Amino acid sequence: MMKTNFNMRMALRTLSLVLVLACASSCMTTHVISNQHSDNIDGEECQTVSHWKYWWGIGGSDEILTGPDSTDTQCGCDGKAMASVKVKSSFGDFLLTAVTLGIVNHRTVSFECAEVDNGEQRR
Amino acid sequence: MLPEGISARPKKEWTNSHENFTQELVEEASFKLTNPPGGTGWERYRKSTKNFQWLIKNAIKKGHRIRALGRGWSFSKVGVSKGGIIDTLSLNFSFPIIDEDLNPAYANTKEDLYFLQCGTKVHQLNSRLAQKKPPRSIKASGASNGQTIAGAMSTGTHGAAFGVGAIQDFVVGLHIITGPNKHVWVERESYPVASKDWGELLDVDEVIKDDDIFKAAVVSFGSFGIIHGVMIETEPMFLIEERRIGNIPYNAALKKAMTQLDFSGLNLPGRGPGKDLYHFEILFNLHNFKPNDAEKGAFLKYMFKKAYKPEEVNLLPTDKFKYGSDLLGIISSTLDTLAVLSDLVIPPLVNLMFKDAFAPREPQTGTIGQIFNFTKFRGQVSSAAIGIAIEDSPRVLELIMAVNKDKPFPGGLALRYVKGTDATLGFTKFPNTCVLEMDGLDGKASRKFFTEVWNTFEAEGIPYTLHWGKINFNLNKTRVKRMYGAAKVNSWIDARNELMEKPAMPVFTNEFMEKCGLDKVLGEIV
Repeated sequence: MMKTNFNMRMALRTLSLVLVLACASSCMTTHVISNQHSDNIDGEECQTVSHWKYWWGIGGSDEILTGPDSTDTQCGCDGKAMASVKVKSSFGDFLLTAVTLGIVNHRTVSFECAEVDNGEQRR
Repeated sequence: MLPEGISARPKKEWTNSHENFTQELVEEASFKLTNPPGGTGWERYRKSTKNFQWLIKNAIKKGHRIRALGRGWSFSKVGVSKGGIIDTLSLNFSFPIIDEDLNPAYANTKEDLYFLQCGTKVHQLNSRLAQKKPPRSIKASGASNGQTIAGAMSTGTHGAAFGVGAIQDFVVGLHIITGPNKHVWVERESYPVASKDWGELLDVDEVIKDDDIFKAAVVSFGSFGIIHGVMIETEPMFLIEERRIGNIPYNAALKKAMTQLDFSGLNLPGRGPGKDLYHFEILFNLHNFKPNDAEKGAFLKYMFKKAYKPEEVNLLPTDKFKYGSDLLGIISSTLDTLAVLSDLVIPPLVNLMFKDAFAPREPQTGTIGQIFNFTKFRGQVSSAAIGIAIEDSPRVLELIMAVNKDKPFPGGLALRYVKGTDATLGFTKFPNTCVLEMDGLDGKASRKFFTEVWNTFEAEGIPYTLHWGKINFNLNKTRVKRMYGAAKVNSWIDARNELMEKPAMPVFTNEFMEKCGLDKVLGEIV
């Protein structure tokens, strides 16, 4: 009987560990989509930015400038339009916020460009 | 300095859309193409041809491999190599056909033809055809509309249009860049479409009218060079009435439909004058199945084709994906970690998720572009598709049910019926093909299940093929020959050798082809 209880506890612990590890590899994501069809091959964002904020949001810029001639632009969209923007907070990001009591905050922002539709050409 | 229209896209690796493989790359070998600015559409198209040739020349000089990629939706490494990726998504011109382009022997009219640049996505094609006066339509579609025309065709993308076929079956001509100094127009000798003027318009080096070469090139997964343009046949716009019903017992009537496409015993709701059954698909929950029991039976998804009347369009709202896109990956990792215990978890998990995925619903009516809209899977998923003759479908279903008892599959099974193709290596090769689609979570459980299903088919002597762009890790030289026959495989290899410039062949060879014995260079001194 004691052995059965021990095995049961071990199984529950293993399951809990698996779930914790699985959650640790996941992210809290918000994906704003204006066009499902992007100009990027799937699996490739146009640009990914690490965005840091400090002191409960007071410190650090709110803005990421991605216009054609903007300082933050590494990847310009040919059609000068985005298809979608993704904001991700990982388990590590939550942990960082918790440990620093909200003084240091991090999230990852990425975007895809809207497709450039060249359309039908005249003959 | 790069030619205008080519931009560098350095990357060391690329993970496919469904997150089930990562391809290692040569960092400086990947590029994105856009049609160079200035001039008419045709002038810009021809400049892109030259850019493709520059890329091939550059790859030969540097000694690396390249592959033109479509949207990147394949589950296998069929369309990529340990070299570079050529992003063609911005090459999406299309051109109407005029009288001068037509071969006098062409059986139809210029309105029936449409020419597309390789990166044109299916949804762009649908929308451009819908704007024609009178509106036009493609003949058949895959389940979604995000693929490029060249990518969808080259891997044999199909729907369940049992009287029409797959994407490649309405393609009638190809403009292929076969080397740094050569590009050609290829069409069937038995079905000519283009005039001499057409070849001059494309500025090709050669016009090839050859059935064997065309049938090989149309499903060649990017290995015949770069397919720059695709000529398709269209038809007048039509409507599709989609219906989804459940609780269909697995009985003699359903088996008759499965083996003979005789639907008379099913009493399908919605039948009526002016409607022809166009699409037929059966879905099963492997974990809740019992013959002759409606409660544990099948779901049907079927569609009627009818005349286009805009006032009859009636579409249901598109649902949002209910869960986070990491969910499937988390479940997969959990199941992999649970090992043997996962066999206990899978059936209730599938029963829970199946209710959301396959529920009966109200009919909806729309054009092909409206019904087959954007349905991309989110997260880490796995999908295998097996082609079999329809006559074998009940036997195969029962074998799969038996495999599932021993090795539970974390997913569902759909049987989709497709008219056979004449493409040399088209996986819908049976005159009436049933495609067994097994979609589920990616992970060890799925891979064990797929392997066992393939092994069972081989042990039972059931002829089958595998979708080139889906999970197919058991493919090798012997199996490919067994699936298609040595004559067809050799014909495909011969066509590749005849078409391509020799120095370009290694550039477009990839590890997948080597594994399948499709990389043979004829006349090579060993």
